[in-house]
Amino acid sequence: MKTYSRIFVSIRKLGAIRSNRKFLIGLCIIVGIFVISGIGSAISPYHPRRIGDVAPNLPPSSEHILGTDPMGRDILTQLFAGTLLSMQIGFTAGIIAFAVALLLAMLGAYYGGYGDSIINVFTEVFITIPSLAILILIAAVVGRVDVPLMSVILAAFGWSFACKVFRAQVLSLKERGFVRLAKLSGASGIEIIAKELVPNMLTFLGTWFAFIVSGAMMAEAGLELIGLGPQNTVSLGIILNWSMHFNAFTRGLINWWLPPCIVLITLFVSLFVISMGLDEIGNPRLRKR
Amino acid sequence: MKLVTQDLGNAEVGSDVLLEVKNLKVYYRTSTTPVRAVDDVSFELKQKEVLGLAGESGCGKSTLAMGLLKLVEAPAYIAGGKVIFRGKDLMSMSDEQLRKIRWRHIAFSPQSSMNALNPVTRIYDQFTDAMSAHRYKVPERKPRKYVSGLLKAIALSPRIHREYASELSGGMRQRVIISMGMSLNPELIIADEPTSSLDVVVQRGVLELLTGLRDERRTSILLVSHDIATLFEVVDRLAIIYAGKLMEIQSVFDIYDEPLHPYTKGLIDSVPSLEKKEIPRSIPGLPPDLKNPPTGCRFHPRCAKAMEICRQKEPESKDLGHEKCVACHLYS
Amino acid sequence: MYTLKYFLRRISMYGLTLLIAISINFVVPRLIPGNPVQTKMAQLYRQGVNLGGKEFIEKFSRLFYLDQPMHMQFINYMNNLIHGNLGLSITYFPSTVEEMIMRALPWTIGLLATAVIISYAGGLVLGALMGWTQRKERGSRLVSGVFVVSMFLSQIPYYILGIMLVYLLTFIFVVFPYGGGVDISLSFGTIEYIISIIQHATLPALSIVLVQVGGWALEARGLMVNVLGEDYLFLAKAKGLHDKQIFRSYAVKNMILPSITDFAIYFGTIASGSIITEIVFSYPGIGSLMYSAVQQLDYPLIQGVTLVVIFGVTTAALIIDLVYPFLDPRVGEK
Repeated sequence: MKTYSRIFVSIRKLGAIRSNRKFLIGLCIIVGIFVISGIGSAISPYHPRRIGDVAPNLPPSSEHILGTDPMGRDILTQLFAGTLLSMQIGFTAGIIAFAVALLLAMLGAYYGGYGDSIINVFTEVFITIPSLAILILIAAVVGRVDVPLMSVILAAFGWSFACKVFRAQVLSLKERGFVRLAKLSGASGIEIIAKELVPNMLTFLGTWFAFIVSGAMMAEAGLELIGLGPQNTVSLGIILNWSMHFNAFTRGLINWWLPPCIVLITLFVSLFVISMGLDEIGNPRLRKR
Repeated sequence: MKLVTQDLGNAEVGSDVLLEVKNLKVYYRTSTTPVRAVDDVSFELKQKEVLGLAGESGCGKSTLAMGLLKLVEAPAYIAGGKVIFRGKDLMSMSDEQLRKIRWRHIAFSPQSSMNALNPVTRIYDQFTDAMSAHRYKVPERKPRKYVSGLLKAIALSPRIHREYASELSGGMRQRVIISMGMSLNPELIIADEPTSSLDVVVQRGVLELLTGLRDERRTSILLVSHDIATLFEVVDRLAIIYAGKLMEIQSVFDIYDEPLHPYTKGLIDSVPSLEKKEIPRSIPGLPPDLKNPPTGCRFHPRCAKAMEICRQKEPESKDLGHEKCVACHLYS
Repeated sequence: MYTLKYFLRRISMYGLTLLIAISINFVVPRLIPGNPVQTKMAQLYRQGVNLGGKEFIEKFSRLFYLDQPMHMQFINYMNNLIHGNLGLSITYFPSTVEEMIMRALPWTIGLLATAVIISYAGGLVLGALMGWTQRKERGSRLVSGVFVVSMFLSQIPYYILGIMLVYLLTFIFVVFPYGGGVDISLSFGTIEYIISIIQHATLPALSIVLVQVGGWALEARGLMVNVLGEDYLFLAKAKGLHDKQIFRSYAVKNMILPSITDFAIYFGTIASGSIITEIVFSYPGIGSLMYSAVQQLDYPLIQGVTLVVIFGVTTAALIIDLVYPFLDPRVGEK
């Protein structure tokens, strides 16, 4: 089935992706962090969570590059494991939220009518409700959260803003020439969505995916910081929670709480840079001359 | 074709030169060669005169109009030339000096009026901000009365001054802008396509407004338009621009009876007539790419009377006396 | 122009949102199987506290309406809400939830109000200037530098910045105190008291402000860049108006309005972020209250705080939405 949208636009964009510095740098950093954490976790001789694994409160040395924590665990191993888990939860939540947002937006904006109004109101309500407050409520009540459940909970509110934005974009694209042409030539709704709309929204969707993941990770770290995260695991926010409990500040345990902060900041900033890069690719006006 | 004009009055055109444009060049920067939108244009505008600037879309007339007051915005830039007003060259003035001249002595009414007014300020305040910027002393020191008077003069209710731009129609906005242009009594008003987005009835109103300006206040007007027919009705002299170059300039009656340049003839022939049943003839071909304009005379690819020399050498502007000027090898 | 239709529509959205949020607030804690009182008793028992046997549980359950069917509970809940009765706190028994909240709320509002106003106003001005001074393309290094820094900062969550600031300015350089809202040894109302309040509030506020300013500056710059391309700016220049006049009345005035609607949208995020920030700083606002409630599984308190946050955020957004049409002559009817 032919597509009527300018296919060469998509191909040109792929080329542009390769040449856009911001996107590449951001992507490299994220992938790099992931790979390093993965490798580090795999080759580390220490266990990230087992209490008393090694001697506690050791300062950084050649054996323990970041030292050990008050409960006798190697901090660097913790950091690797924590980073992996945080990223996993964040991305999973991001994917779920993204899928929900996209689905609802497409259904609503494309098919319009009554259903669209309902979806629209539903989305607006979710946007207005302060998500973290409800997340805290849910997490507190549910108690023992496990990793998949955590992702679902995080996704529960992360979809709303993106949905609104996606819907607006689909609405504006819906009226364009190539969509009408496709309709006239008998393409079904799903075909049009998949072959005409989505390819033209690729960079836009990419930008928002980065935002969603970033938001999910921020909420995740926030919840974990106050003790509401998945139990029996280690993630960046949980490390920060522990360090708060053990008064890491007063005891000068900067090697414990600072690395997670830095990793988190790096993740957020890289995601932001990726989204800016994608934005530039999709919107030529933003490119520097 | 006979001109269907109402006699809109024939104010005496002054003989003093108000604005002298010398070799003005306005180019647009690109990643390769610049686009030569206005390329070495020279002409004079006299006091109390209505000069029309005609040409196809994209021929550079709007760019020229904006260039006179250095209002062009990136990527356009003034590449050379002088614009002499009251003895001083506007192109070499500082920003502050130019600012004082704008609106107060030379007003500019832009092409699109739909978004030209500030949407969040009342109309009255948009009159007065210009007055205060130029320290204009309003008659009797009563600005409200003055603005009401201005609005009445363009057949708008004085109540408008409490309203916002979004509450006015397109025609009203255009008239308000021209009225604002008049408010400081400038010596020259440049009107860029003041009638293009309006319906015929409102167009008439705007044109009458402009001629009224000329007659009563003795303001000069530079009227830029692609609509030759409208220009014929209003202007004293007509200048024809093509591909960034001035092709011909004559008094309106002369140009109608005896168009000198083949392009001008083509333009006139393309206007439909109420009397003759001839089908109007358009000029074949398309305007050239201004990054790489044709060699020699820029019109030669479309000219029925093109000669060998037209391909090789650019014709210079020749003064044929009686206020006739033309750039064409037929006359050199 | 402002129409009744817009007003009604907005109010009904408000009502609907509130209703849904309150229902979620009501339903979620009741989803867990078992009797929360029983659970709490069991927990306390494990900690060595024995408040009594079955009778006690029954009495308490009745107090919390737990013996009644769900819909009755809901009606009672709503009824109580309307009367401002949020129940009894388990942790701070016999204090009511309202009391605890009222004690903590002023701190939060004071902190948030100051931080938000400073960052919004400051951010907008910064962004507007950034956009304005860069229009002639001779962008200064300073402006670009500020731009990059604010971009960077806007992506850090408040609490992380808070943690770092705490370390830097409380432990390394002992500039600011850590924990609490004020030095309680000081008597209320004295100058030292007020100074102490400011001292304690500075770091939390700073965490919020530094991050927010970046975000608003970014947004303002974007808005300004949009405005710069508009026709009315061109006419303003043609009118020979002073640069400052154009900046004030034509550029800024037009640019500010969209940011106000965005402001309303961000309330939720700001509130959420500041909750965690308070916890990091042990600042005695409702954030810390929520924290202790969560740790103690004090459901009435958790619900109460959540409710207050929901109510506050949605109402603030509503107020802005209702006031906005008065500011922007182009808007009124949706």
